[in-house]
Parts: sequence; C-alpha cells; structure tokens
Amino acid sequence: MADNTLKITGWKADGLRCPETIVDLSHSESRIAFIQMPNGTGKTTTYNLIDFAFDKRPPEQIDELQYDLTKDPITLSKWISGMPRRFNPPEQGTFELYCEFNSKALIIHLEFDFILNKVIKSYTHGGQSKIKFSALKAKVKRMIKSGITSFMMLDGERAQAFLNESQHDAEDAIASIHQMDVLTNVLRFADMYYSAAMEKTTKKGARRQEITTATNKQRKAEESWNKLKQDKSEIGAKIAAKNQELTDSIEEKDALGAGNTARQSEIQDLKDKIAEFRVSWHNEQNKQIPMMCDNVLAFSSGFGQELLQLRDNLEKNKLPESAGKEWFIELSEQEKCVCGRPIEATDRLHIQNHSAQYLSTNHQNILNLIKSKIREDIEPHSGDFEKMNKELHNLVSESSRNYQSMVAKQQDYDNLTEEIAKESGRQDDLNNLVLKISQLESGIEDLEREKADLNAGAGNPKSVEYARVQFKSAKDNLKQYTEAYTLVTRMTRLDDMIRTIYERVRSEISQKVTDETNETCRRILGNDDMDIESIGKSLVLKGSNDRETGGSVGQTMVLAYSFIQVLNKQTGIQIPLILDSPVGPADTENRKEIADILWNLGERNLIIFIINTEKNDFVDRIQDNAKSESKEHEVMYITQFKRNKKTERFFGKDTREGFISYESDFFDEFAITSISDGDE
Amino acid sequence: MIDLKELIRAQLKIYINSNDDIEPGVEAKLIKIISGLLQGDDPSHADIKTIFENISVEV
Repeated sequence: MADNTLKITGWKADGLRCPETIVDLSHSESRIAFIQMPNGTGKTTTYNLIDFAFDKRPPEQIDELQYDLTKDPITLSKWISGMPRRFNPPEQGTFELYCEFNSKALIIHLEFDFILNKVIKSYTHGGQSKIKFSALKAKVKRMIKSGITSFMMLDGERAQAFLNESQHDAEDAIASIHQMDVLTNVLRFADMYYSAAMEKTTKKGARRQEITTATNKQRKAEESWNKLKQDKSEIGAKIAAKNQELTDSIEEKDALGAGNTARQSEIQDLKDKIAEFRVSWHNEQNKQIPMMCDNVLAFSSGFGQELLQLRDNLEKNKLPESAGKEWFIELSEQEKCVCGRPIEATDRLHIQNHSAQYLSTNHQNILNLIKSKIREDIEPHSGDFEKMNKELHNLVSESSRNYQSMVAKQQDYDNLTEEIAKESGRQDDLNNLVLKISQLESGIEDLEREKADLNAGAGNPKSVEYARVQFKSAKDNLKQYTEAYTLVTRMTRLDDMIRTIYERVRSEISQKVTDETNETCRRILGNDDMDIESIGKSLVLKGSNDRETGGSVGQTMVLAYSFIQVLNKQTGIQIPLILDSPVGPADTENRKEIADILWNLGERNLIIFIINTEKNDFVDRIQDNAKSESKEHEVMYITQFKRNKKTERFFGKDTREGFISYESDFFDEFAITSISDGDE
Repeated sequence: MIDLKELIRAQLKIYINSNDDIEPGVEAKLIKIISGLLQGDDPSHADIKTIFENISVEV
C-alpha cells in the first residue's frame, strides 16, 4: 500500500434520514462497491454525510452558520435540522465513517444534537478514544487539511464544476494539495518573530511611537515606490495594448461600416430599378389605353372584316326609298283601300299588326348611317387590321413585362429590407464600436499623461523619482533607529523572497499538472478533445473561447478523473473516489464509456451510489469487465433502503428501520427506483 | 511524484544567486524549516532568527 493511502471501509448511521444500517466495505479484495439505494431513502444524505466528515475545516470552525455543503450556500443549522429520521424523530443522531489510513483504523464521528441544532465532529485513530481534530497525528491532520479529500466526491455536477470558475478554485486546490502553504507558514512564523523582536526594540528605545511611525512611513514609501516602478515598467505595454485594441476596433468599425454602405447602395439600386420599371409600365399603359379607345379595330383583326361584310350585306339588300311602316299605319286609318274596297275593322287590325314587320324611317336612317360610317371610317383601314392588332398586342406584352420586372424588384427590395431589419444589431455594433474607439482614444491619452507623470522629475508627486526620494528620506529617517530599520528591511526582503518562490513553484506545478492531465486524458479518450490550456480558477480548455460547450458528460468526467488522478499521483496520496449517480443523465454509449474508465482506474477504492435504473449498460459493463479479467471478487454489490410500505416485505421479522443486502442476485433483481413512486 | 521541497530548493538557489543581500546560508535553513513544516513540526525561534540574520542590510 502506498504511503498516505486512505480507504473507506464502511459507515454506520443511526437516527438520521438515511438507512439505519452498518455498511461494511472491509472485504480485503474489493475495490469497487456499488451501493444501490432507491430514491427517497437517503442516498444523497449518505453522500453528503461522507462529504461533511471529510470537510477540511477544523471542528472548532464548523459551527459557523455558512457552510457550503452542496455548492449552494446553505446554513449548517438548516442542514442539521433536515437530518433527523422522519418517522419517530430522535433528539440525537450519529454517523460513523470507518476508514483505514496507512493500514490503521480511522473513525470520523458525527454526533448530531437536534435539540441544540449542532453537530460535533471527533476522531478515533489507531484504537485511541475519541479525540479532537487538533489532537490527531500530523499525517492524518495534513491529509484532511490539505483539501484533497474535497476531490473524493464526484458527480456529474461536480465534474462540470471543474470547468466553471465560479464553482471551483483549481489553482488553490493544487496549491493546497501540494502543501504550498508551508511557504506561507514560513512567513507566518517569520512575522511572529518580527513582531516580537520589534516589540522588544521599541520598548528598549523608549521612543516607541516615533519608531512605529518611521517604520510605517518607510514601508508605505517603499510600497509606493515599488508600485510606481511596476507601473512604469508596465505602462509601455499597456499603451501598446490599447493602441492595438484601438487599431483593431477601427478596422472592425470600417469593415462593419463598409458592409452597411454596401447594403445602402444595394437598396438604392433596387429603388432606382423599381422606379424605372414603374415608369416604363405607366408609359406602355399610356399608349395602350388611347389606342384601345381611339381604334377598337385593334382589339381583333377579324372585327373590321366582319364590319365590312355587314356593309356589303346591307348594300346587297337594297333598302326601299320610302319607309313601309308609316305607309301601313296610314292605310289602316283610311276608309277605303287603294283598290277602292272599304276597309273593315278586322282588315284595319290586320294592317296595323302587319306594319310591325316593316322598317320605319328612323330604322332606315340608322342602317344608312352604319353603312356610310363603315364606308368612311372602317373601309380606309381595311389593309391595316392585322398590323394594328399586332401593335396593341406588343404594347400589352411590353407593359406586362415591365410590371413583372417591377414586382420582382419590389420582392428583392422587401427581402433585403427584411434581412437588414434582422441584422439591426449591426448598427448597434457599429455604434458600440464608435463609443469604444472614443473611450480607447481617451484611455490612451490618460495613459500617456500617466507615463509622462511617471517619467517626470522629483518635483512631480506622481513620478517614480519623487517616490524614490520619499522612500530614501523615510529610510534615512528610520536609519536613526538602526535596529528597527534592520528588522523592517529583513522582513520585507524575506517576504519578497517567499512570495516570489511561491509564485514560481506554483506555476511550475501547475504546468506539470496541465501536461500530465492532458496525457492521462488523451490516453483514456484516444484524442485531444479535452486538452486543457491552463489552470486558473477552473481548468481552461484549449480554444475555450471558440468552443460552445466544454464537452459531453462522459468527456468532462474523464477530464475530472484525469485531473484528480494526476494530483494523487503527484502527491503520493491515494484517496477513494465516491460517486453519486455517475451515469444518471448519460446515454448507453456514455454509460459504457464511464464504466470502462472507472474499471481502468486501477487500485483506487471506488464507492458508487446508484439507483436500479443505472444498472443497465453501466453496472453490467463493469461486471463484464470483471468477468473477462477474472476479477469478480473485486466488485461488491450492496443494496440498502429504509423501512417503508413498499419495502416492508423485505424485512420479515427484522424490527430494524434499515435493510442491507450484500447478495449480488438480490442486487440484480431489486427493481424499486423510488419509495415514493409506483416503480417496482 | 512531485517533490515540493526540491522544487522550492531549486527556486531558492536561483533567487539567492541573483540577490546579493540574501546569504547562501538561508537556503539550508529554509529547507530545514520547510521539511519540518511538511512533517507537521513548527520551526524553532532560533531557525527563524538565523534566517533574519542571514539577510544583510546596509545602514
């Protein structure tokens, strides 16, 4: 077993909102333990209790109200008040976490007092009685205080948190796990020594106030001088960066402006075309309408011919000189006929009726007028009928074409204006850029002024030279009190040295973690999709600015596992990994992928909380892997739950509130997903 | 496995080489203190005093 190896061998809960059972994981060969618990039976409570047991905060601080248990700030007292068993709630509750640290038993006790709403944490190590954190052996203390145990607990949400700087502080974790605090501790002890020595010096000199004032003045003057020197060394780069930003913004603005100008010109072209086609269309109409009004012969080439035919027919049927209708009417009014025979009443009626069949003078006049009009107006054009019709047809076609073109251009115009409306953000972008450019120009002017001030002589209070002179003066003043001056200077130099070394070592370790995490991740994934570029508050993926997402759930978990594995490898600390529903949201392929990764993690002690629906493609896959390598004995299958009307039948005569089974057949067949729904 | 003490030692050497006011003796003393802290032992008053005294100050 490696040095600094921590293993969880079980736990026991009593009076809490999780099964009141003793979970025994101490089987010497097991490395993976599945804990199957239906929803609503305290799976997350158990997970959180383990998390809380390993919280790095020493017990004297856990009474603080703010305690970040699940990433969302909740109060510790609220958490405690939600902890007692629901049925017959007790006044006290206990949770004991059994571990092995470097082969020695380590028990973490959590004793809940639900009346006072508090929890007390204590430890038993190597058979001792319960002790406080401060009384633990240094190695155990260091293991818990390092913060590495906070990496033991992982679910999909926590894996994602590795890529979210608001939810993690990877840089701090690396420093903590690598015990970089030894350097800050050196400074803490140096400061204690310095304070005691300064106290002694000032007492001895009997001018305590003067020395303190001079010391503070010298420190402030040095800080101010250092800051201005730093500002001076950086201001050139700042100005260059601002100038570059300005150039980029101007280029961006020009490009955007050119785009807008091109659009405006396109719109104007379309407007011109629409106007042009509208004018042509109107012109054609202006010709067509008079033509149609003036000469109806143009409508149809056959119409004129028909009129000529009509005239010919009228000519052929010669009209009488006098009109017949009036003659018969006149006769019907006479006493006698032209033959001298008297006209009887019946004859008179017959003659009157007969008159209706003859044309009147008016009719004759109209027909004669038609004949003369055809002769005068139609006949002269008799050779042009075809031509006139063709001319009208051409005008109508041309007009129709112009109208169609105008409609098409109008459609283009509508599409373009719609597109521009959709891109209205472009104008906002342009306005923002104009504002940004103005701010950059003003910022550059300010920086140039600042640069001039920094470079000015000792007469300018904003200059480096002025600060140097002030520091020299403060130093000379402090030098009167030689001992105090020497102490201040030594403390300042030591502080500079330790901080510089801290930063360099942190950066070196961070680079090693980055390289090794990428190597591990690539080995598991078979590609560099999840390569990290750097480690800041979170892990920063390569090209993260251009990526929309951090990766799939499976990929992100691989990255998180790789990161933790590297930290473990680099620190020589072996810790268990406790997973809560690691494949809940994952699809079949991801489940298999995660199962393979977990199986290949090696010697690590794994505790995986699941519900029965996570068995398919995940537990099955690990079972298959174990079988193929003849390592079935390395996997434990535990099922546990609370007493409930749905689970009552499993208890038999047992009166306890919690049930636990270590049988793999029971594990496989157990089908209750939740004690509050209808699944079974 | 990363050896924090060795990383610190390497950076200390570089720092001390480029800062004349820090005497070479500071390296060994600081490494001794860091070794102790890594084991959970607090540094002695004498060790801290030695470090202070190995930082030269012109008055």
